[in-house]
Amino acid sequence: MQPFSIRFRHFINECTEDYLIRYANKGLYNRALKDMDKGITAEYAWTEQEQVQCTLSDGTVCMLADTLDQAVCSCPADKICRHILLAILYEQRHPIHGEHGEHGEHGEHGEHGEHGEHGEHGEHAEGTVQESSASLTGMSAQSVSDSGFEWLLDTPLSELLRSYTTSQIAEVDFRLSLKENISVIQDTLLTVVLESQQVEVSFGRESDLQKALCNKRDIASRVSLYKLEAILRYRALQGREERKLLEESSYPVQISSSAIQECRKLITDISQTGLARLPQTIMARLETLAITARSEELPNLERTLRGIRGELELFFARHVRFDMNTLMNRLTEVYLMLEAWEQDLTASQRAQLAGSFRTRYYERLQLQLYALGAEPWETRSGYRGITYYFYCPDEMQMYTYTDARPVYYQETTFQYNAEYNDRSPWRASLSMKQLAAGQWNFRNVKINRDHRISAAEGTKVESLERIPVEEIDFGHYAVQELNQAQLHTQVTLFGDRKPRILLLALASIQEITFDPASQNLLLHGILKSGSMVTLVVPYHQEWQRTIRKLEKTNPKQMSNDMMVLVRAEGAHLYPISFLKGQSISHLRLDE
Amino acid sequence: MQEIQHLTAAIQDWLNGMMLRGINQLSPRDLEQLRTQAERAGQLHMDELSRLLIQLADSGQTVLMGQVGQEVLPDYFRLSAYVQMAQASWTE
Repeated sequence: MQPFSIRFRHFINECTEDYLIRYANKGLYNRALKDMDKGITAEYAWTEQEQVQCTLSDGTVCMLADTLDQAVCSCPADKICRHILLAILYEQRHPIHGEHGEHGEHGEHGEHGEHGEHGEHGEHAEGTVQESSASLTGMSAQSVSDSGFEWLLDTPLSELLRSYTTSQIAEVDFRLSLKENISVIQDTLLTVVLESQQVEVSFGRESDLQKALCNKRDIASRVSLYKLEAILRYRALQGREERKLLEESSYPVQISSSAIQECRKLITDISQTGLARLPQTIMARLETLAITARSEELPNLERTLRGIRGELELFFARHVRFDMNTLMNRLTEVYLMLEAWEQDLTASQRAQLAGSFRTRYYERLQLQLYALGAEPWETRSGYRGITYYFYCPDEMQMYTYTDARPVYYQETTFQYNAEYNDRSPWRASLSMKQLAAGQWNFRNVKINRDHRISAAEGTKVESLERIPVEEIDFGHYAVQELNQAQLHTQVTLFGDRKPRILLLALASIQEITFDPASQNLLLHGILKSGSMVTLVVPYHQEWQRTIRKLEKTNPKQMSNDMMVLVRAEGAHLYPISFLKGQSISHLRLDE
Repeated sequence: MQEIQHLTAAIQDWLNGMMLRGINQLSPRDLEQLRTQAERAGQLHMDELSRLLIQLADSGQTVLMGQVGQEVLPDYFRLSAYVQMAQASWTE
């Protein structure tokens, strides 16, 4: 380590106007300048303990070291104050002599030379401004390499990430997936501007990410996220492709799981014994394992186990709805999932297998949402809920909110009507019914990678005037012609099979029939494009009144030219809601 | 196409049957059925399916011969997955 007097000189030189203003603020800086103009002076004395004592002519005493963090002042301010700034600025203009007996002459030469260069800066316009749209790898790499900012690009990613937790890294990874314009200003500091967030992060020549300055005043952990986001966006701008590596670092290391081991044993026992000879105690084993899977954060495994349990329940009861193929599918899925787990997987693959990556939510500043539908549902694995569908016109992306509850325990119930009319989690004065019929601006909303909205607190919902549905461009969700290709849902082995949600432009309904064999109500209609379409409403005791009423309805009495939100699953189209102009009607939930 | 679906339905029946009875009830006749189905698959140019069927038949054979440590379940479930995904892609 160099002697303190040299480090101190370096430090004073690094205190450019830009740096001091970013560290403190413009007001404080200007105040210090004014004080100096008014004639306040300072006297300096080297102390024994790597500090310089400055006594200002107004009586204030500051202690300066070789970093701004360590500066202290006798005034009441607990962080940087105008006295410290003044002490630095005054020193720049009236350099003090070297420490006794130590490099006295060198020090003086150095000072004159260096002070001639800096201190005249000021305008940001003097630095080079680079826009994010251009690809500037060649040019900017060269200017960076001459300047001391090489560390921004040369530091390995692992080192940058060292002081961050996996969930912080996951959050930054998510942010990087959102569009953002950045601009770069380079003079004595390299400043990265994240334009839509109005965040500016300035990096110095010292290769320490945490020493970077950020204009956003927030808690330390959030500020460090901005710093990481800024440096990673900068590196991406310079051609670094690090997203995969970043993603890998964002998953917690999975410890060996007892649920996995026990599950293997259970599935083996079931298969070897055979369903015909299974003891009832198997149900308790499945239940315990599902709970263990949940506690070990293995949602995919938990869900599949509950599905198996649900199906076996029907089997034991000789219930007519029992389906051997469904049970076989679930058993196959779980067995292969367990086998895959034993493989040498990357962290992201393991997270995908476990299903845990889907449960992470991240905050978005703003999201405009147009209500498209509300669908009540029930699963074999013992869950009941309502899924609300929304559309973001800016992103042309659908988002959902699901309100669900496990009802496999006797005590818990889920009443569709009650939940539908109950208040929304974000605004007590707003019911879910109202939410499912309007257009909204969600602020500080938490969403996950599957475009699901979280019920977390802190989200503000503002109402907007609902645009007529015909005026919205629904992109790939709107379907004119129905053909096989469009109805293909993803064939996957693991995880939730996602059905496709589509919007059809319905010209009219021609006929409504009930098919007793399949227990389905069928709405036969014609699309605007001229094609025929059949919408399927499966009979369910919960909705019998609605279904009976629909069956008796004369198609001619139904509106023409409606949009209908449907779920395309298997070979069928299941209608969710009907939309026309500003109004919307949810098939099952509205009368 | 119908013949292929016929075959996969028969295989599904076989798999379901084993699950009901229990894999440890595996008998030589069950393995014979597998080999017949493998031949049929070969005729229909479904080589991968044929390979899976033969593989299961072979591991089943080893288990019946009393070989300790041999497992039938991995091949059993792989065959099941194949049939499951084939059927899923057809109902779309």
